[in-house]
Amino acid sequence: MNTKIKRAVLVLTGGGLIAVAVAVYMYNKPHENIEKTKADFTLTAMELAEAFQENEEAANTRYLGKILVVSGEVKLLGSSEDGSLSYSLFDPFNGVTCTLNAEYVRLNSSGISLIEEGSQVIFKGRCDGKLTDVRVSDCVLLELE
Amino acid sequence: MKTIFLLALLTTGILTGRSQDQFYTRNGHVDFFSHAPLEDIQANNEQVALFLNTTNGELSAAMLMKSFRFEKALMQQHFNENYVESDKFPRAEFEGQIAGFTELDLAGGKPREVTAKGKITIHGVTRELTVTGTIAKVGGNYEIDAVFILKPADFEIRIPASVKDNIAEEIRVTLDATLQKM
Repeated sequence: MNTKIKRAVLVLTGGGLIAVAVAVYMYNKPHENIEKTKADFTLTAMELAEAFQENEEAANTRYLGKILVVSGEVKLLGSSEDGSLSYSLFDPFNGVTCTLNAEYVRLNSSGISLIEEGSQVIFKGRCDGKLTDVRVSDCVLLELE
Repeated sequence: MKTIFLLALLTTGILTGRSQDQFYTRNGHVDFFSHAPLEDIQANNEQVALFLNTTNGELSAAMLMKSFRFEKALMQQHFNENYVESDKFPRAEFEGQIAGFTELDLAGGKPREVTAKGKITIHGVTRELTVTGTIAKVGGNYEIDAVFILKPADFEIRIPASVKDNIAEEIRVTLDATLQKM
């Protein structure tokens, strides 16, 4: 083989390997790290709940899929069989429910166990939309008073 | 619109003081499983809201598509952006009735086989749905379990030909929830 062909083969092989590496990385890319991602909005649970109550379509356009920092008073605690925990802020049924996934709960159990009804908290998570309450998922606890 | 139905149910229960007939959970579990030649896909949603009116067996459920969690982040992204278009259609809803609910003998906590018939809306498309499952009354709570099949095509969820060996035409959906008195 002459040097030109050898070089071409090397470049193609190199390019091919990079493409494969990128594809493998993308396929295996980790879930968004909420803690490290900059929040799109910071607001109170009351403000968020009211925004969805007044105009759900507009609130979806503004907040759906975005990272929010939400603060408020815990009105109701909940849990799922998989180990995730939820905290409903501002109103028990029509407020904002922030859910911490099971993995996060496991790694931060000592801090989380202090949260109770009446606690003032600040969570950061992703807005998934509204059922009867606004749901914020994959939350991390930023502050607890 | 459906949320208004749920809210009305809630408000009626509270206003009439008949909340002893309303049962509810906000942490019901739904998962779906797709088995295809090239891969199996599973996703879990632990934030399903269900309401049960025990005076007449009316059952409604609602869940947010963005709350489905996949093992692979890329799959979760494709599911939301390309398949169910969750920015346009954030919610899936079911409204129906459990046939013969008031005649059920739920004493002793044994699960009884029941059929729920109603309408399901996914990706903005509403279809009739009949589901068979079980219901049990355990310690004052209602435990509901069901497994059923849904076809993405029925809800205009377009699966590109390039991934037809990765995603099944029929998806197995599992529901389990424990509803408490409101």
